[in-house]
Amino acid sequence: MALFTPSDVTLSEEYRMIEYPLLSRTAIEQEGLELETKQRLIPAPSVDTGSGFFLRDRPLQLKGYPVKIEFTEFPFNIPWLPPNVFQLLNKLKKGSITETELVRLMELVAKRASDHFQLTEGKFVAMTFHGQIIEVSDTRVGLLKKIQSRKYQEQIFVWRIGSNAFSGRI
Amino acid sequence: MSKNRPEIKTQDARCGVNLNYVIFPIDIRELRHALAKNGYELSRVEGIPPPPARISFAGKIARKGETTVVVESDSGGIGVVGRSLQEVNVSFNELAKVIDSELGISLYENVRFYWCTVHYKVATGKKPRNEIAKVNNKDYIDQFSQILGEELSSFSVRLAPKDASPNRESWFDIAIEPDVTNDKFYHLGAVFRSPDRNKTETFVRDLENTLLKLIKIIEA
Repeated sequence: MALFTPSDVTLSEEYRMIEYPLLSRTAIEQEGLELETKQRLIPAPSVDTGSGFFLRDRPLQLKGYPVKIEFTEFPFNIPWLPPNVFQLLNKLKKGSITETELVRLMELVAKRASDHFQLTEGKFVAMTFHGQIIEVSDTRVGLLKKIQSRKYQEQIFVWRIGSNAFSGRI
Repeated sequence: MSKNRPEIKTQDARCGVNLNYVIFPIDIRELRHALAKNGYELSRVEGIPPPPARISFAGKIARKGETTVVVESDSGGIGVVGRSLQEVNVSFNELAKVIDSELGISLYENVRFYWCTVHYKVATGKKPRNEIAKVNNKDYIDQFSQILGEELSSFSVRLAPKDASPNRESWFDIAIEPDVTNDKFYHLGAVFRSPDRNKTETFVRDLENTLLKLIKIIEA
């Protein structure tokens, strides 16, 4: 059986032998307890199915680690971005981005946001450089009116969905 | 929507494979590394123990484009979820390529079964509630109506291979019913499982047309 026991491994509480209270037991209860005790003494490599971390037929709990890793949802308000976008975002952060690269960055982010949110072609959209949508409008003027008096923690830019033209940056 | 061509929207599509190993052959740390290296965004997670401790894992582990990689290591399952069956099929093949080249594990070998599930909304211009009722088995519906003291009609059509068991590797199940939130739409759900890769790919490729043909028969 594949087994590795680092020093910080302890048996989880629920699998430790439990001292049963000294109450009278029925014969069936007694039999069940004896059977369970016997089973614990039998090495059972067949149960080492890779789920968790096992010692004989009992799972071990690594101190400070869960028994199973459960992954959760991705934030829906930010689309997946390709690695080259992150390279350009780094340049933007450092202030070393060229005008051509900046337009390319906006183009890539707008395309990803458009796919992710299934935006309608022709709409004017204000978004962050991570693709989060701030506002949407049918016209450029309408959009600018919506966003002009607001303050944003991140830089935003305006893009017309479906076009390849840069519409503005705030 | 055109008068002749039904409007079909995919609500959710997923496909993948359940591997036939005693111990899930993919290590979570190696998988995450391989995916990150190939442009996937990883799901945030804490508490992954250091090697060589093995640990079960499940859920949405990474995403790329509009598809998300899902894993359930206890049952040996790995696949992708997305917005169309074609998209997830392409994405699954890409995932298989990454896992093969980076980890040396083929998702096409030692397979218990391939699987795909998909949910569509379809509008044909007709009222699904009325159309589905046409598929009534009159004898049974009359008897059911008598028992319930109410005039009844069928609410769904559910198709599965004759004599097959839903708890086996080879199975499919197609449900055609009115969409409960919008009576102009059908809800079509399909589940498919097979140990045969070619059979699965053919099913995926033809599914939308097959479902539209079924609706056409219902509405004839």
